[in-house]
Amino acid sequence: MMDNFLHPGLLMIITGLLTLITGKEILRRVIFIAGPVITLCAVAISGADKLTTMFGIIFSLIAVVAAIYNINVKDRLELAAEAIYAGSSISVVFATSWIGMLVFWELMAVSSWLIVVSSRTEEAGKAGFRYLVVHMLGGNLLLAGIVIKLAQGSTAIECLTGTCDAAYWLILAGVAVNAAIPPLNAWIADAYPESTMGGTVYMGSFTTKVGVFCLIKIFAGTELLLYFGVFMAVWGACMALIENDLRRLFGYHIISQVGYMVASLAMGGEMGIDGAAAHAFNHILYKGTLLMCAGAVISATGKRKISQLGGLAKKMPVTAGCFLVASMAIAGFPLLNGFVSKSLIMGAAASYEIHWAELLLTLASIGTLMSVTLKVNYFVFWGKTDKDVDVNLDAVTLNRKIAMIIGAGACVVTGLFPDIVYSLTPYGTDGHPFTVDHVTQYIQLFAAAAVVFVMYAEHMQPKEKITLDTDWFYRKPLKYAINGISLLCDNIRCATGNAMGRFFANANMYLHNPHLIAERIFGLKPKAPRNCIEDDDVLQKPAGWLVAVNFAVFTAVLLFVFIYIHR
Amino acid sequence: MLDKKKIYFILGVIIAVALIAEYCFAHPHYHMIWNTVPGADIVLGFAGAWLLILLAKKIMAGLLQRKESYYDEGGERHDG
Repeated sequence: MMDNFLHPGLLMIITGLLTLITGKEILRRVIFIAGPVITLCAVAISGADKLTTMFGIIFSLIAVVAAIYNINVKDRLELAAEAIYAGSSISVVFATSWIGMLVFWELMAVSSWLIVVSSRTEEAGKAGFRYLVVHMLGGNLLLAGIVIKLAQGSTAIECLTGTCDAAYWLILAGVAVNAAIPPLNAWIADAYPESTMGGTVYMGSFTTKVGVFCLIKIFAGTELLLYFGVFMAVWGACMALIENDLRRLFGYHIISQVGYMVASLAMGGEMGIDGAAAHAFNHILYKGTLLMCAGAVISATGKRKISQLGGLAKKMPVTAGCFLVASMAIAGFPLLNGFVSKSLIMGAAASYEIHWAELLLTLASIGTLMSVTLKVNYFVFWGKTDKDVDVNLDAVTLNRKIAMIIGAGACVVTGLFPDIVYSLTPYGTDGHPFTVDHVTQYIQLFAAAAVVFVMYAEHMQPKEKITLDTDWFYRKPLKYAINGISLLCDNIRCATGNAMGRFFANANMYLHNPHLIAERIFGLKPKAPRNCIEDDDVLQKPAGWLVAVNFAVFTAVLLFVFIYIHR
Repeated sequence: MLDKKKIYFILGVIIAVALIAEYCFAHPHYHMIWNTVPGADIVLGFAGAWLLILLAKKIMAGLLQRKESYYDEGGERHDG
């Protein structure tokens, strides 16, 4: 923690608590907006290192924009969860000790789960449960790793690259859950689409980027992550190409874009680390805008599937315009912010001579262009359509429009003036984005890919299907395995219970009617009915000669013992 | 909305201008074939786009896509 200054993350957490307890709506709105603004100022003057300050600034900035987008929300618990989630994310970034990181990490998981379930649908409840289970698993892995670090005497967060002990792998696995590194990625596409519209803007901005921050801080230069990062970038774009649910599609784009960051930080060096940090910064801006626009579309139409939407550009021009800008930014169009940070990442790959990564990341850019910039813009906003989608324009309130315009404007400003982002990066590397070869490269790539899209446009419409992800393993086989195990346990319990019941019933029978023992031992015919439990009179019946023999034997034994002792 | 021929024409003009600009003014920083040969990115963009469509639409869609009620055991999936 910081010793000499009011912790910026705590300011946001306090904002959340005040939002929760403030009954008066106007006051609550003021607190909800003022909190992140004050936090932004606190981050700017905190004097923390450049990486921390950069993430702190962008987290507070998107918290301000998302607060404007969400200001009309009546649900106090949701607003409080959002502010606390933002606060805990900023706190993880500002944490300097393992314990501080862990505490806010868990708070992030719980508060983000609250955001998922805030939409109060059955699907959200189920998805939220799966989300919480995955993040608790991640938190526990992190805890285990941190316990080992503490046992080794290390209390401050440090770079672990190259250590490769148990703590290294446990902490890496814990952080990988948050950074959505496959196969621990499915929670994004599973939970984000079920959250509230405003909640998704927060979720798309914080969890994965906190993961990236921790990877930069703890695991920069880890070669293994390069393979995962490049795979994420290409695979996320491919999944987005076939996805039909609007917000699930953006979930896959988060994975794809985080893939760029993971690959970049894995390349290491000043350019790689700066590329990852700058891309996280820019990604939060354009992905926040895209998710705000998606939220506006879903709120206004009540539909979330691309196959049910179409021709919205005329009906929702502001949303369509902001979406167009942000979707061009995510692909990496020149003069927009995605281009600025991709130049650093591609530059790192080229200058470190990792040519396969350079080619595959270029391929992922083409995938991003086709799946967002072309596919969503064409099928949802600008393309020809026979569908007449009903639009409730009241759902896109003025504050939401302002938030979207600020987001899109930020993408343009940071794209036109790349030094804003470059100056914030840890090493201040200049990506020289506006050289002729960079600009012409992207124009050629995108124009050629657009030709292919136009050739194949009729078949690019997504089908009304769902796409399986790694959550399949815990939603299908694991479910059957758990059902099977509980059925087995239940059968064992029933069988044991029945056997014990039979044993006690029989024992009871023999205890009630000792005749039966003699009967079994000596093979004597019973005089009483066999089932003595059901016959209450059995004990009242004359015992007969069997008891006389028993008594005689017993007396004889007693006499023998008496005589033997006193001889 | 524009018809396909007009879009091809516009994209063709953009590609031509970018190609000429690259040929005349670009000074590549790196030395791999896709950095140095003018127009290599056109081939890369075209081939890459087809490769991704093949991968996503033909292979991944066939392997991974299921009907929407797949996880619901008979019920309809939540539909906003």
